[in-house]
Formats: sequence, structure tokens, C-alpha cells
Amino acid sequence: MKRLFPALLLLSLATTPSLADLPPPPRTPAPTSGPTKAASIEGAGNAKATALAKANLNARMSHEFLIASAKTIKDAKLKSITLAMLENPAPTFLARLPDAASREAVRAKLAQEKLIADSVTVEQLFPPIADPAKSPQPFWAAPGSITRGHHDNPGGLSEHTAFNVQAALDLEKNYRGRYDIKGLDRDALIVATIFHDAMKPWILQWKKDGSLFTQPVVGGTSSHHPIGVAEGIHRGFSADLVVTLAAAHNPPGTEPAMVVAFLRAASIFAGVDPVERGYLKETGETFELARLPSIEGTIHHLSDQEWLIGDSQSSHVEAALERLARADAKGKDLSTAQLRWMANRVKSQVPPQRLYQALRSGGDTALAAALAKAKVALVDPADAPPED
Amino acid sequence: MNRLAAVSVAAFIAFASRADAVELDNARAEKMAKLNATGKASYAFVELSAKSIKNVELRAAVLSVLKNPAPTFMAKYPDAAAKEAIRARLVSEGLLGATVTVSDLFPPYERADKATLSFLASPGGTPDKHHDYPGGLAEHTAFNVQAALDLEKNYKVRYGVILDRDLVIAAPILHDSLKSWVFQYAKDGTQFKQATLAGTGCHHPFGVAESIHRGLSAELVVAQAAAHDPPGTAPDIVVRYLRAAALLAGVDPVAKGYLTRAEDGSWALAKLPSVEATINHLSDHDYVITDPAGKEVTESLERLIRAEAAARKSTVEMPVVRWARTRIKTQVPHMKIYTELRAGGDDAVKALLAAKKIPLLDATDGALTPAP
Repeated sequence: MKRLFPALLLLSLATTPSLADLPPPPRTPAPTSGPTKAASIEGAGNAKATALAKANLNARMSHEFLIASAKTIKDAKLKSITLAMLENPAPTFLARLPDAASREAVRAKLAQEKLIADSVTVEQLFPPIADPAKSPQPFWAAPGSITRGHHDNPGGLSEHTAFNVQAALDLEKNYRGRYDIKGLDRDALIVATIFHDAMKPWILQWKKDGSLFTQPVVGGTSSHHPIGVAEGIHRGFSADLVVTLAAAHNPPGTEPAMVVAFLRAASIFAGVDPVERGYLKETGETFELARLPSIEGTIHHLSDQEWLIGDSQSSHVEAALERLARADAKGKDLSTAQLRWMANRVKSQVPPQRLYQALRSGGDTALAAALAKAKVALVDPADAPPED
Repeated sequence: MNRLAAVSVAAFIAFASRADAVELDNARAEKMAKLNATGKASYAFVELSAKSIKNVELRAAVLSVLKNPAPTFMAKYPDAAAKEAIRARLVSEGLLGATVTVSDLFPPYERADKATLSFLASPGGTPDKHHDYPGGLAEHTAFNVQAALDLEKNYKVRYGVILDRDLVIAAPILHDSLKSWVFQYAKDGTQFKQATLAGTGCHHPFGVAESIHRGLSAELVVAQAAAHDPPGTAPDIVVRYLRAAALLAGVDPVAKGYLTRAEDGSWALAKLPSVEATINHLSDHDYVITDPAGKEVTESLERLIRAEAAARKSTVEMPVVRWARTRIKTQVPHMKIYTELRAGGDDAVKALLAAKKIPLLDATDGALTPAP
């Protein structure tokens, strides 16, 4: 933490630290390029996005913050698991679903339990991956959400997760200080916020045209969430931690039925009984949370709410970037893929949150000025889609 | 009648909306708040935060609201006819249910320039919700101001985004300030029931109307209006709050720069949603745990209070239960009680209160009834 703070302070003062000031990117398995098995089935844009993420100073600093935060986890086993996840966010629970038949059985069970629509396919539930023990892209290269959603740039996952970890730690301090509550599980807050979106590197891979894979709805929410909970179950998390992890998208206090649905879906993916595990209790023909909602689960939920402005920021900035790029091209046609890679490049060089402030205060003109000041081009030959 | 209740008789005002007119007992809440250490520390933090606002006019307005959270915009409605006219206008604009009467909508008050409850003594909610005790508003607001400042710092450090810190502080302080008016205490320990206005508890549009009436900026007014719903993903709801508040304050929301109106009559926010407004919304979300926790604590305390009365071979009437509950919550934060309840049920709550030497029943709560 101490080592990281000066670098963060520099950013807050709007100076420009060099990439050389940062440690090299984590030793994460590099996305495969070239005519290999991985390249043939995994996202065709993964390597290009990873290259952009390497130059994303903000994402690199965010990832460093995540590693530093994970290192403060007191429980040795949880610390090790969390650091491993940051190094290689692989869907290891797939080890118990090695073939088409076992994956179809999960799909059928989810459909039977009304946790997915009948039309959802095995291919939608389980995106391509060459080796379930190896993430298709590094944590620090992945996006934070779907195309045009919040943090949809290479490195967006690290930025989003770092914001959330800080928000969770701030809320923990606020509860402790304001209400004299002792014993909140700080480890759980750090682990849950890092784990929650950690399956996005697998689920939201980059296509050749610069857009992202789409994810189906599972348990009433995007699949990355219950699948992330399943990964936590598979890696041996305690019942309290699993329920805290499951609370990210909806608050357990006011929307417990949603959290119950996430836990039921996650348990099917992970092949466990949620009642035996102590997540849920049966009440007649339905389920309830086994315990009263925890403050930790609520903090986890509250810390993951930046999307309420982030989605809007991203879509407005992207639309403005497209207008500006088309104008800058002076009549030359720009393909959808070029525009998508342009947005990915620009947003990985200047945080879209900062671009949004310029756009809100002075429209496209102010946004263009902000990009010019940062020496970020709108049209660049590097925005061509990757070759096959 | 106990000593505290006797004091309150002087402040008798009927809840005119109720068929069986109820006596107010705000004075009892004022006395209880003085024993609420967390509430007092919270108020001090809120006041200190307000003093750090750089804009002179905004700082003066916020400090004035803290000192005297009065519904000054009600000066525009000095008589029954004026109140009925604005009620009818809100109904005709689809912002208020037709069955809501003037006395349902506007809680009792003596003068528009005088708060019915001090900020410190005000509750943050009702017994089935969060912070339902004297000092609760200060605790809730302090939590929200801290959350807002933390988010402001997070945006700055993570993204290099510099925000308007004055707005970040002022909006959460002003947002709930008129709970001092809409959640007044009755002698039986109940609280005034706020009407639904523009789809939410009326304290919210009332608070925005108050800021408009006090001449605060469009950016502040819109940020404050965003407390209950996010302007980025639910702009139409924020528009509704601003329309209701503008009507109450007697201003044109388009001329003021809050909204735009298209030729087809549809409304929209005049500017892209601000991060400051979103922070105000995000910082006001403690209720997702404090509402259900508050209800659990209320029910647990009632069980324990009734068991204590039974141990004394007595029964206990609801007014006594309510005041006993309220007294206890002013001495231990309800979220601290909740953590004990979650960990060990009613027994753990009882042990916590015993350790802090807080009786379940006290002579000040009212008289018990001998069991038959």
C-alpha cells in the first residue's frame, strides 16, 4: 500500500507518471496469438486488447492497488486464492464439467429450475476457452462490462475493481466509526470485491471487430455474477463469504429473493447443495437466506454501484468519440470495427470518466480539446481490426 | 403521565389528518436526543463538514438549515386556500394521489420559519425503517456525508476526476433535513406518516423545494433531487421530483435550468447527469441494510421489553413499548444492536444492553399495567 500511494497521488494531481515508473505487467499467461488452438476458439481480439491494456497506465496502477489490497488479507489461504485469481482469473470450476454432456446437464438443470430461459444454449453459458486452467486474457486486460457499458475498455476490469475495493474499505470504516461496530470481516470485503467480476476475462472476451462477447441472463442477472460465485464455491469459500460474494448485484436486506436466485444458480454450476452448505434454508417450496443479511454483504453490494453513472458516461463518451472521429476522418469511411477499436484505444489512454467531465462541461469541442491536450489521436492506423 | 410527557403538553398541536387527533410530543424527543452520544457526535461531524463548504452563500444556507430545519417555502402557502391550490395542482400534474388531503400532505407547524424538531432531535425514519429515533437523522446524515466524501476522493484518485466538493457535502445534508417536519413525534410514541409525493416519501421533494426557495444553484438542486434515484439510469424519476419541487417552490424548472421541455410536452434533465448527483444518490443507500435491520431490531426490542414486563408480572401498552424502544436506540446505535441480534439473537441483544447498563424498561417510558 505504501509503495503504491505516491503513484496514486501523482495521478490525482493530474501529472503524468511514466509507465516505466510502474512494475512490469503481472506474470499472467499472455493471450495466445497465431494459428494455435486457443486463437481458433477464444476471442479473436484478445491479443489486441491486451496490447492496449499494457499501455493503460490507469489500469496498471489499479491492478497494482488490487495486488496490494489482496496482500493485506489476513487469512493466508484466502490471500493466496485471491492473489492467484488476480494472476490467472481462470474458471477452474469447469474442471468438473469437462465435456459437452456435463455442461448440457447443468444447462438443463438451470432451465428446469427456471434460472435461465429455455432458449439459452450451452455455448452461451460456457464461452470458448482453450484450457479451463488458464484465463483467455489477463485480469488487467479485461473489460469491466459489456460493450458501451461502464469500463468497457481494455483494463477496465482492474479500474472498476480497484474503485470497488476502495469503496468497500471506505464503507467498512464508515460503519465501524459511525456505529461502533466491531468485527466486520475486512478479508471478506476485499476477497468478494475482487472475485465478483473475476470471470469477466473469460465471459467478456474481445471479438475481432473490437466488441465483446455477450452474456446470457442467469438467475435474473448477467451470467458473470452467479458464475463468479460458483468459482468462489469451487475454490472453497466459507458459507458467509459465498453469501457476501453473491450479494454484489442486489442487496440481501431489501432484495433477498434475488440473492437466493444467484446462490441457487451458482450452486448448480459448482455442483453443491446450497442448503447443506448453509447458504440457504428451505421454507416450504421455496428458499430463503439461511441467516439475516450481513453488513459485509450489503457493503459488497453498495461498493459495486458505480455503474449507475459509469454506463451513462461510457455510452455518451463513445457516441461523442464516434462523432469526432468521423469528423476527423474528413469524409474517409470508418468501419464499425475501426470505430470500436478507436474507442477501446482512446478509453484505455484517458479514463472515460475524465472524458465525460469534459463532454458534460463543454460538449464535443471540450472533449476534442481534452484529447488533443493528452496527445491522443482520434483516427489512427492502429485501429485496424486484427488480422486472422 | 410521566414528567417528559407533561412538558410536551404545552406544545400540543393536533395531527389534523387523523380522525382521532393526536397530541404531539416533540419536546420528549428533544430531551432524548441530548442523551444520544452518537447522535451528538454525528451532528458535530455534519456541522464541521458544512463549515468546510467554500462557497459562502451555500455554506451559510446549509448551516442555517442545520440550525433551524424549517419548511420556509411554506411561507408561500399562508392559508388553507393556498395549500389547497397547490395540492390540487400537484394532483392535476399526476404527482400526488387524488385522495391525499392537505393535512395528509403538510404536517403540522406553527410558523414556516421555525423548525418543529431540531436537526439533532429528528429521527431518520419510522419504526419499520432506518434510524427511527431522536438523533437518527444526524447519524444517517453523517454516514452519508462521509460516504459521499469517500466517493469523491475515490473518483479523484482512481480517475483523476476533480469534482465540486461543496455539492458533495451540501446535497446529503440538505436532502433529509425536512424529516424534522414530516416525522414529528406524537405523545403515544408514533410518528407523523409522510405522504407519497412524486412517487417517493414527501420529505424528498419538500427538501428540494426548500433548497429552491433558499435560492441555491441549479447544479445543487438537481444533485439534491437525485438522492432517491440515479440520474444516469432513472432520469425520468429525478425529473418527477424536480417538477414537484418546482411547483411547491413556485418556480419554472425550465427557466431555472433544471429541466427542458420538448414540443410534445415531455420533460428531460437539462444537462447530462453529474457525478456529484450520482454520489448523492449512492451515499444515501445505507437504507438497503438499515431498513431491514431497523425493523428486526424494533421487533427484537419489543419481544425483550414485553418479556421484561412479564418478568415484573405486568403487561405493557404500545406507547410504553415505543418510548422504551426509542430510548434504547438513542443510547446504542441500532446497527450495533443489529450485529448482536444477527450473531446471537435476542439473548445477545439483551446481553449487550445489560453490559451497557441500559434497562429494557425505565420509569420514564411510562407506567406498566399489572398483569391480571
